[in-house]
Amino acid sequence: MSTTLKKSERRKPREVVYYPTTEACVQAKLELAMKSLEGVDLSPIFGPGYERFTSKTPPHSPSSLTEKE
Amino acid sequence: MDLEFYPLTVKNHYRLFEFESVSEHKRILKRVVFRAIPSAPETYNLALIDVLEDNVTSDIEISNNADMPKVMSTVIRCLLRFLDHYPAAAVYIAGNSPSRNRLYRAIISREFPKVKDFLEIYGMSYRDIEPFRLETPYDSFLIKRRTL
Repeated sequence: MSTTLKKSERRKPREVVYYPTTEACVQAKLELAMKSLEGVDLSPIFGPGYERFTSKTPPHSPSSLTEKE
Repeated sequence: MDLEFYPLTVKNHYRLFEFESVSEHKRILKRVVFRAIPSAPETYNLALIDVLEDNVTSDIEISNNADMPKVMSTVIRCLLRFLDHYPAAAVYIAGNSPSRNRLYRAIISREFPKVKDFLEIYGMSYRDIEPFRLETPYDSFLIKRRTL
């Protein structure tokens, strides 16, 4: 016996990710952004001379991860 | 941008905005957070977050509060106010799913003619960046004030 599922029934429900705090959620999204921008040349936006994005944070640059809300 | 939007609360030097998504069934506190991306000067990530009970947050894709146009209109207001205060900044926007990216693309496509004179919008796909084009799929978007 075969059953045919409706399209909506076949769709895998999306897993919702919960975070304990806003900061944890923002940090997770920030890391995704950094991963996505890794190696991307941002000079079309900021003009020539803008260095290719690297996820390595220069030691002298202020970390934005400690910003308070 | 002509759509109705929710009242905003601005915090943290225009890097955090809060508003309530309201329907007959529920109220959802939403936060729009702009966070500097380390080692990409002047580039900020936009995060849209639902704040649930006990301050637990989620990246829930659809709140099912029947007010998506109003929520998105409010997020655009947040973006414009952020760029008013950080005119050199570029804002990185990526959905947490392909369907969310399609929604963002549809909204940008709709608003593009109205904002193209004062905003630069770029689409990113497979790590290539180009000026936003209609009818083109992108993984993410970068938006900044147009430089004169």
